Amino acid sequence: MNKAVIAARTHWRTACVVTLLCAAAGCTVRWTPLYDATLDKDVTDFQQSVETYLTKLQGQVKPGCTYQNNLDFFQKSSVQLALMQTRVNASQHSTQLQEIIQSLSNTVKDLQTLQQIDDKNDKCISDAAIADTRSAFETEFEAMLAYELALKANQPPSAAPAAGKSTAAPGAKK
Amino acid sequence: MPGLDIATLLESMGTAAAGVLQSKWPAVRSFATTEFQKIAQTITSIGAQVASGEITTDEAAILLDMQQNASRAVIASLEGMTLIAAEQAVNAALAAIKGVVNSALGFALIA
Repeated sequence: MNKAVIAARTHWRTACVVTLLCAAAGCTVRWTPLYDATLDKDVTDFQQSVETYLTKLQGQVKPGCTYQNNLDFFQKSSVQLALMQTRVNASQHSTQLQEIIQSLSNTVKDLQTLQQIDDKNDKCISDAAIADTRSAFETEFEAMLAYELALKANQPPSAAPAAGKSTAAPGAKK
Repeated sequence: MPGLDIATLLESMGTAAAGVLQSKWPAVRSFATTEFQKIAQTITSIGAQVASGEITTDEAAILLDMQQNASRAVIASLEGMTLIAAEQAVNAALAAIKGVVNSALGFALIA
């Protein structure tokens, strides 16, 4: 018999024995979420897209700043968020990541509403409002990436939001 | 923003959240305080923007919602926390400063 097959069977038996012993001893078997490189990349890509868009909006004049003129960003964001949401829902990740992705989705919707209001008022979104928007996004991205990095480092994801402390003050010009 | 002191706001927010979270508070205090600081700074930024005519009160509410939403998600992602507990903590923190904020800003930013 192939050595690899024998090794795999041995590992499987060991895992079964450990699980049974653990169950007999009253341990709680808990599935730990695994680091997901694809999700990590998706989040970074989305962050880059958001940051590029916010930077583009700064100091822009009509019609470049209008919601109608930037529909492609919102359409692309909707797709990116849906893909991340599906990936997280299908994985062993706890509800923590689902909540952060939902929060990102809400922030995009809020930005959309802000720009629609500005369209009605015939003006562009202000730089200070962009800074506040950026701060909200940064809070969410930092929590998300810190969670993924904690998984990558094989640490408890509960350590994740520590990175949120470095977020710049809302309203600060960058 | 005149009439709004971030340190005072933070103290009120922390006390209110601690009352809601009780035994969970010591574990989340550091993170929650950071988030409350962001909310307080957002409130002063919003106040300045409304006062200068850069944004309307409708837009002000959306900007606060953004930060409130993000902070709630971060607090909910802490170990032992749930979205409901995080929401209750953030709501209690905002309720604690509602009077002084709305009065200083001259409009009802916090509903």
